Amino acid sequence: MQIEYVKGKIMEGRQSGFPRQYGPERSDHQPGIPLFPQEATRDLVVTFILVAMMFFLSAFVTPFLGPARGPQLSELIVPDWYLLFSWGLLKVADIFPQFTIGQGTPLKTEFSAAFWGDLLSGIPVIFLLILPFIDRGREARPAKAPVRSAFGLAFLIAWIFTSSLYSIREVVAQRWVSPNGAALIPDFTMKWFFIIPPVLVGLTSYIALRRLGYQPMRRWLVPYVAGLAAIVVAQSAWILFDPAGLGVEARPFTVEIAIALGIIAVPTVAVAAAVLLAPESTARKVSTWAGALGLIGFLAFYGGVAYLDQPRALGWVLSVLWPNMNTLVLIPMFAVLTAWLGTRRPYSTYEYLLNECYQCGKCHTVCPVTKVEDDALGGLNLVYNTFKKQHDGVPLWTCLACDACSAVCPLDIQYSDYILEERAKVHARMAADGGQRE
Amino acid sequence: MIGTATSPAPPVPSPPADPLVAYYRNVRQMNLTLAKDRYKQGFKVRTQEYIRGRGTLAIVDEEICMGCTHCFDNCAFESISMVDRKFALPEYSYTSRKAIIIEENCVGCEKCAIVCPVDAITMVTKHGFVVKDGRVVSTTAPPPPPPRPPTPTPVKLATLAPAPAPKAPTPAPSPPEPAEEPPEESGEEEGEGGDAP
Amino acid sequence: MMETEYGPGRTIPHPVMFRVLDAEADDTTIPEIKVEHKSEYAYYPGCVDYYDVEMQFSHMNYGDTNHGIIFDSSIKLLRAVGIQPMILDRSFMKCCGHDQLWQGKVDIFERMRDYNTKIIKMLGVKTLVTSCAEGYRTFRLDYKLDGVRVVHITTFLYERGLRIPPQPETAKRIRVAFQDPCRSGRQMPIDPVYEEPRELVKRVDNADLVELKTFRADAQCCGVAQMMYCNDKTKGLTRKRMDEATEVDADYLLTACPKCLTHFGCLHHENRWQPGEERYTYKVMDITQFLAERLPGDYPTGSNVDTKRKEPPLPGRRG
Repeated sequence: MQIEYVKGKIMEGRQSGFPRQYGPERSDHQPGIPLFPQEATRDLVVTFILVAMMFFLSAFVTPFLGPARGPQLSELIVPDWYLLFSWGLLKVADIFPQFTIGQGTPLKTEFSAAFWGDLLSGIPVIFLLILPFIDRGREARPAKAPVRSAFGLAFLIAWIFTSSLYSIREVVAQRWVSPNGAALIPDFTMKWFFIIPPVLVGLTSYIALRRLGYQPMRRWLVPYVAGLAAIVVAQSAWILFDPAGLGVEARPFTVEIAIALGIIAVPTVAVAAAVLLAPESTARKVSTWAGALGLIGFLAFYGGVAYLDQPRALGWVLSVLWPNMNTLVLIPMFAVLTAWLGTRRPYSTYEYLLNECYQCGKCHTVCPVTKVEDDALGGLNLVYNTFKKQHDGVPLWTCLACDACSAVCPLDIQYSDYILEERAKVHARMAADGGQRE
Repeated sequence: MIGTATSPAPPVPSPPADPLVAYYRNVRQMNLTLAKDRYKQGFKVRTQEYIRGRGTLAIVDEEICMGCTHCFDNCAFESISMVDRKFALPEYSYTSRKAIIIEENCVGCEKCAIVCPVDAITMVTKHGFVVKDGRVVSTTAPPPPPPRPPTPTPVKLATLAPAPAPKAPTPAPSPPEPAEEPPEESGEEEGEGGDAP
Repeated sequence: MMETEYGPGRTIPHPVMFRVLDAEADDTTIPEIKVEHKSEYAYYPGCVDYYDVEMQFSHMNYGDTNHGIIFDSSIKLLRAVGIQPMILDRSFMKCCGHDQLWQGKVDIFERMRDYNTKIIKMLGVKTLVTSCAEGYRTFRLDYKLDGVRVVHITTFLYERGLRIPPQPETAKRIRVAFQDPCRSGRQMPIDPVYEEPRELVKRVDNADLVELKTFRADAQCCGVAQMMYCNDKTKGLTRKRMDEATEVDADYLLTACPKCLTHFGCLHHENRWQPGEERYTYKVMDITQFLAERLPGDYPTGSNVDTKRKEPPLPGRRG
């Protein structure tokens, strides 16, 4: 009763499991100027001035641009490279339904491919405009805000990279062809590029960043990696065993194709099984080896087939792999990569957490060792000096690991974890140098 | 002493009726026996660590000694004394103790070095002795023994040194207490000195 | 004072004890285990017997600081709340590895952890009760004991509703201070043990709980954790903490951590070096011992089974 009451008071206003038992609750008292209306007013003024200047220049100082180039000069029209993404978005817009509403009225609106393309290009701008109203968190570092970073990366992949690629789809279709003359990377595959890689990148970066922040990610990893492996296995099985999966011309090369699919599918399945069944350290090792061996195996296969002077076989193998690039190339890569990132030991990145320190000095105030250590007169600060590796190891080896510093730290830096890691490192080095020095 | 206030001090030897109580009693007894046996083994290993034999001397590292008095309690030759040392820090001051070796009495039995929990005591050879093949042996032609081993041998006074040796250093913090075994000590010292030439 | 960046630069105190504990970790073959009494509640006594031997060996503390009684008291208390625990004794368990971990010997710790985890899983333990703050932290955070509930004994006794019978009328009122161990308090992100010991002390009807100058999460360290060092500086810290107990005029200074108990007890005894120099008039003991002394009945483990244990020597003795 009373104990529950006290616990409740201690944990009041905190999430359960929040590792902080000390001091007042964090608050968002950030001195600064509010966005609305102060900042918004100032920004509007600046914007209007810029727009006015542009109008002025375009109206009165128009440069002579020369005669327009006729469209018949080139078969493929592409804009400059930095506008390719917009061009790609316009091209992909034909997947949307095209219709017209309000026919015959003044409010006639045509939902054409051009309209959808404009809308797609405008979405990033709209998103950036409303971002400050959505994301009200304090955290400014991308690595500390996994959700925002994952969305941002997925967005960049889809809107910049994939759409730029898509804008030159004609070039791709001409350059890479299978032995029977079909495009190796058909339009259908390239359209899926807008969906699959961004999702993979987003989920992987979310898992990796959460893991960097010391979260156990098994609950995310298991369904994700297992699902990816299932997709790969299903696709491979469909290609090999379904009569519709492999074309008649590719049939004679079933063995080579099966080997290639095996090289791709086996590491993926191994990683998924390790994540599902084995402890984390084993899963980490398995993912490292599976990734390395899979890559080496694929390169060896590629080189081996080319060396054996079977270019036709290679062409047919690629004609199976490349159209299914999303499932058979990207998904295995991301499955292994995610398993590796999601199971790796965040210890090695501890200094990343310690870098948060903004040197308020609270830890030094409460540190009991500096009250009695002679070096305290010379400005010994255990936390700071350990981090800087100063004072010849005195701060590292005199630390009591009593965690008084972590208890008062406004950023919740667990200094004792750092002590653990550093001492273990020193012992490992001593062992490497041939045993105990004492 | 604390525990004996309300609990019965001597162990109860009568066989308990409850099998559970018997179980707990056995486990407790076994744990204690195990700890003692293992501890003895560890202790045996530790006795092999220091050079031994006559001609050795214990020295204390002042930096490391923390004044626990283990060595003081264990020394059979009254050759360790404790001195106070004050620590004055900006916010706090306190007193700790340090052990010092009375070299005249030390026979090099290495008991203090073994019991020291922080390894502040190590054994060194006395002047005129060296370690050869893991054994302490005296050098064949040692110079005449000076009153204190660390002092560099002076030019003229070296010849006079043996005479003031027995009475010269009586350390100040030595405990004022009826001595029991000084004759034995001095005999040992002299025997060693006479042995060398 | 540290000449190189390598290592602690000096011997870690109690070299014999740590040599023994480290040597235990080498043999990882799992022995035949015969447990006479099986239960899903297990009690892990930890290193109390080793500390006891060490403290008796350093006969300065002869009989004064009694670690072994933590074992006896814990069993008595657990039986008082109706639990007949299985004991994970040292014939088949190893040290929990806390000190080795914090001294940087991670390989030794990992060996101990894997071995102990196997044994705990093999015996089918559901609830692991530990009377030691460091053991609590280590089993809870550093081990991966899925499905085993690790609980500190004060939490467990509080949950099971330990009842201390009324003390005799003649008993005078006592003032009791509790030292929060770092390991079970500040260092536990989940379920820190702050309130349970205090609640248990309040159930002793002639005891008044007084708080030291710093308590709960900002309690000052006792001066020595993980047995890394024992020197003048840690002594100063210990003395500082014990002075706080003098200031609040406590009769008992309780703690739940054997390290705190060791070093408080060491200084407590050492302080009687000269007669008349006594600064600390209160008693230092583990909280389990304090509670068990106030329960009627005998110790089921036979109280102090060490027949050779003697009374402490008088103050001002000679060597």
